[in-house]
Amino acid sequence: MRSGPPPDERSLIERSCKGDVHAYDVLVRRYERVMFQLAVRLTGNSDDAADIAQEAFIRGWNHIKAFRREAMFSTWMHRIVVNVFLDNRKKNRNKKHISLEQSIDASQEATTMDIPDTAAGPEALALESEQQVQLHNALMDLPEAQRTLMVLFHIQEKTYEELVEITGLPLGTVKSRLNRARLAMRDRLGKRNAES
Amino acid sequence: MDCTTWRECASDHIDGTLPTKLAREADAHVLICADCAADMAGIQTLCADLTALPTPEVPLYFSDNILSKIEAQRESAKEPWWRAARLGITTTLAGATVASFVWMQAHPVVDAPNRIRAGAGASRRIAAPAPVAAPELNTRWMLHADAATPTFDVELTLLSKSAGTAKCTITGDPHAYRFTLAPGVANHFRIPMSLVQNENIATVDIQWTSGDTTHKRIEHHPLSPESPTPRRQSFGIRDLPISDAAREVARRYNIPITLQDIPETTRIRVSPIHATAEEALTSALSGSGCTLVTTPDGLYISGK
Repeated sequence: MRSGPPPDERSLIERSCKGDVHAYDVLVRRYERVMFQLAVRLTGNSDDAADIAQEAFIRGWNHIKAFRREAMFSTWMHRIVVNVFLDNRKKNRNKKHISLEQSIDASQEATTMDIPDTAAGPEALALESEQQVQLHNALMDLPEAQRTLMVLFHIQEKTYEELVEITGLPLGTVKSRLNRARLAMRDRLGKRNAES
Repeated sequence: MDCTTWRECASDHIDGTLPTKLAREADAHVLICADCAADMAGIQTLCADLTALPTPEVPLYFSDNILSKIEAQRESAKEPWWRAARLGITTTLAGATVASFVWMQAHPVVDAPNRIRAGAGASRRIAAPAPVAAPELNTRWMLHADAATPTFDVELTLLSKSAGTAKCTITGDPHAYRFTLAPGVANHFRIPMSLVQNENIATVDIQWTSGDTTHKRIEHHPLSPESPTPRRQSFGIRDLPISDAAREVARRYNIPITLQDIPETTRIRVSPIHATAEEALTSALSGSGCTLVTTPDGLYISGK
């Protein structure tokens, strides 16, 4: 049974609703670590993660009046981070990333361009062993919807009930996607281990 | 139960949420199917390993940047008349600055007007000489933006009766400028803009003597103090040496800051929330023993 945020948090939310940025600052500092970690595991690199988590907190501030008092603030913020992540992916899919510094000679019949991977490598995420790097890569190979559930359930340690609240999906869909994600990761890691 | 069925309910089996009858069938299946048993063990390990992934560190100033963006958002949402007024004020100030610059070029001031009394939180601009209890060193910054090579010219004048010396070091310049200071005589040195334009702020360290006393002054001077910046800001500077923190405040607010005789070991944390530069530094300096004075030319911080 949900009883909403703890009393001190409720007061911070009330004050934030009235435009008290100091109160919201306390909430940001309280949850910055968790939300940044969630964003890092969703995006796979800390630069994009910082942008997403910051945008989520700003979105939170702009919509704090819409926050339902019986919900948990952290669950609400999780939902915003996930939405910002999915929105950004959608936007990026519709964009072509070509550097302005690179010129393409249209007269050439075939043009090849090396597009560098600018995402921070696994070492930037403090991954300590080859096994953790493989795990990270397998997670990043998952489709976004499955990755989101894996991160929320296993890394953020959310319950199925919270997953339903955060993603807005029916429980059956959450369970079946999570199951598929686990099997897909197991298959990928198993295959890699067999190859190596 | 076959392998396909087991894979469909693998998560529930591992999590222990299968109904009793199905759970028994799943248990029985993994006892006889090596592949599914390996998958089950693999998923269990995978789940444990995911939980154990290291937690990445939150970037420095993460929350401060959020607050800054919220503040900027609030600023930009203000009434249009205010924005118009701000633009008008900015334009007027810029015009006044240009006019005063032109006037100063045409009418050089021999008795430098910018004065700082060492050891006392005095204003930098005093109309008439006041009784001098401690050695005084005047500084005057002049920007030659339209010269072939834009420069800052800095003028030093010792106002005490005793002669002295000064050694000036500019951040980014390997050379030191040394002067013998005679009372009332202006000395000049030039800072090429190329040295500081990347940082958009010039920092000069002046070690000077007069009679038997020695002093140390650090001046942070933005290259374009007339450029508009938000008067109130939110950000965080965490526990830096006071000079570095003051430089960052000078850069962010685009305001000159002078530090006089500050112990080098002094460190401060500046975390204003919707605060002016004066408010930010007043709060940061509390308990440090340093004094902050607002002057027409910027902020002046002096040690004990």
